[in-house]
Amino acid sequence: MKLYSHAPFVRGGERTPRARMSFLFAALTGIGVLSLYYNGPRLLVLTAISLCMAAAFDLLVCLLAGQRLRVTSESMLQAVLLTLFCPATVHLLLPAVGVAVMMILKQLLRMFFRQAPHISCLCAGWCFLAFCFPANFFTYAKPGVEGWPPIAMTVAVEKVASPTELLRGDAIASDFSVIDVLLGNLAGPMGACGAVVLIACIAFLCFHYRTALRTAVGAVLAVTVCALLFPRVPQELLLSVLFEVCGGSLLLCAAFALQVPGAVPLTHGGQWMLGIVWGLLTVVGRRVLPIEQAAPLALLLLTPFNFGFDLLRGQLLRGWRKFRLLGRKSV
Amino acid sequence: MLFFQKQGIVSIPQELPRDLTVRALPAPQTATLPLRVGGQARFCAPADRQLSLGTRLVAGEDGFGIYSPFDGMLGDLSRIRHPLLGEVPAAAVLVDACVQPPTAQTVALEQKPTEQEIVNAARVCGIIDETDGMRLDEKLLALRKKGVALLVGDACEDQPGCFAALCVLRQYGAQAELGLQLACLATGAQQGFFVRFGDADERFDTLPLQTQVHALGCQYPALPERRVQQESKQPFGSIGVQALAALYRALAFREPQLGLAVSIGGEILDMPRCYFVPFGTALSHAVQACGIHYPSYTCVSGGALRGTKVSDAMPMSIGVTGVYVQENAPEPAAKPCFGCGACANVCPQNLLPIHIMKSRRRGHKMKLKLLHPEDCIGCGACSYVCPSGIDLTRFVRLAAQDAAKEAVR
Repeated sequence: MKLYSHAPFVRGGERTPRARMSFLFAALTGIGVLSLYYNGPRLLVLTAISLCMAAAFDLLVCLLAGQRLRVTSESMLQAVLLTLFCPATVHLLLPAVGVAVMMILKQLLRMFFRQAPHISCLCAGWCFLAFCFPANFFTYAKPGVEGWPPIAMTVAVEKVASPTELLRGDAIASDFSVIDVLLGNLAGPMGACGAVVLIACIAFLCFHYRTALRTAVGAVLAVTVCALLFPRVPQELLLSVLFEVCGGSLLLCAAFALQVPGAVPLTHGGQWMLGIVWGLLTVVGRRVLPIEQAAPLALLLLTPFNFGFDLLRGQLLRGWRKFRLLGRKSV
Repeated sequence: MLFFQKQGIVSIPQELPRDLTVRALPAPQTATLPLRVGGQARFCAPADRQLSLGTRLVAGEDGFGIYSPFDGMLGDLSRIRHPLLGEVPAAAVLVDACVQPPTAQTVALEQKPTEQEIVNAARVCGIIDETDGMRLDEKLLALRKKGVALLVGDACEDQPGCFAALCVLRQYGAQAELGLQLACLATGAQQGFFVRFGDADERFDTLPLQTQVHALGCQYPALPERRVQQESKQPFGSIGVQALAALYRALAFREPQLGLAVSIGGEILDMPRCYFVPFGTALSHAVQACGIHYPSYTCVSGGALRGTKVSDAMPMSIGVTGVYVQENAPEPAAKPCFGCGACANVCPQNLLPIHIMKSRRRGHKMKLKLLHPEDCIGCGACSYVCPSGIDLTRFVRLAAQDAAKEAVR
């Protein structure tokens, strides 16, 4: 067999990883500004602590491995995202603990498997906080009502139900409107405020960085269809669908958690499959477990199967091609 | 009637402007003519070693011939190591004049030839199909044996810098059309048509032909065989347009094949051009004719995406219809993969190149088996789009080689 070792001799002008990462940070700025408006300077303090923790871990790893000291943009991105998954009233050091767990897991996976992690470390960090500190992690308060002290370790607040928690009742009775859900004036994680802004972020990222579009759309479609077919509050169908889609960190995950390298399958077909299965698993998690913020958990459970989704897509296409060519002779 | 869907993968800009006329190449001072027949043959050059255009140099035992494209003096016979043909006998020639591009005129054949006459003409005139390097007479017989119903005139060149087939279709379209009719007669095919790459150049939109010309979209890779296979319900075969035009000339004018139209492309050339290059001419001679002012350059035989890097001293031979010339610059170092998936999404064979590369590196044989690296067609689309600059095509090829070795064991 002839080995064409040097071809191709021309390369496409694709964007570099750094350029792609800069688009992610640009999108994060949009949601960060809105979150800052609702949650005040405490958001900045929490983010700064998380970033310091991520940077310290990166430097420590470089030091131990005897490499040139550097802080990766991937670690910074994941630290910011994990902070945005927390409510503003969370303990001041809790996001940093989550970041530490996330970084340790990442290094362990790299050490033992000698490859980029096949599970979403961001979602793993989220799950650690959610299962180890549920009382503090899931205590939401309506933004704008309290003036959060920026550097207080803990904040005592009156707990308010998030949109998806409201769906557990027979009827939706809340003190926030549809406009609040769309614009972000509601209880929930700091980054999950403002469905409109999150959708704008998804659109911006899809325009510049197409990777996660199919998974995000697949998941939102699956959740919407499930909410329409099996509404939790049938008498208020549209509101029920809106709360299912816009609540529970689904849009936040769709916008940002999928953008972390290795979080989605490589192929478009695999990304569609992951999106649909992720959406279905999120619905199951919300209704069976029940964990209202089931989207990151479902994503964590599915990311190890990303290769499987790619492989399945390849096998399906191969089978389809064979089926089409069946019985056709060629020379 | 065939219906071609748009099924390209990568948009690769074609260089414009370019000269689409098949031009004559100035005669080189020396040439090295490869003499490969593919069977038993005898050397039959004149005793005084004086060559004129069309002098028969080699006669195969079945009648296949190789002819001199030069006027001049025959030098020593030797074996050369050709980068594409391997080790072949070759004749050195001191050149006085070389063959000019063939005439584009057509004349009516005195009588309708029989299928045997067509095959004999292809054999005696030494016609080679430029798309696969196969002898045309053997190919016609093989297609007849298979019972093809469709014959495709292949003018599909989808790589940047390659446009010789389109130039031939534009300039010698009438001869290629008649050659296609003759090939249909010889193979028993009921229908013939041309396929071309959907080049953005508007000069290819109106080709003066009566036969259908199907354009395969403007994206790479065009893969005509696969498309015809998918869309047609009948068995088919394909023959290059240059071979078809040569087949007509063989029957109409008894003219042997003495050279090929070769496109010389590349951004560092003054003007990409298509030349009728006599067999045996050094590649550097054709490149210099295009106007190149770089002291050091790299030649790629066969196109920028699937080709092979060759020395510019390589004598031109059958199967080379496109040469890509680029500046001699070091390749930038590859960065680590960050999982964008671009390689997997452009692969026309639906492979997962980055997974193949990683599995091979870690020695995961079972995983490699699932990934089918042997299906790779070497189009290079994965390496082209990789933002990290990883040479994925090479790794997939290596994995395919490993799989082939494993299968032999």
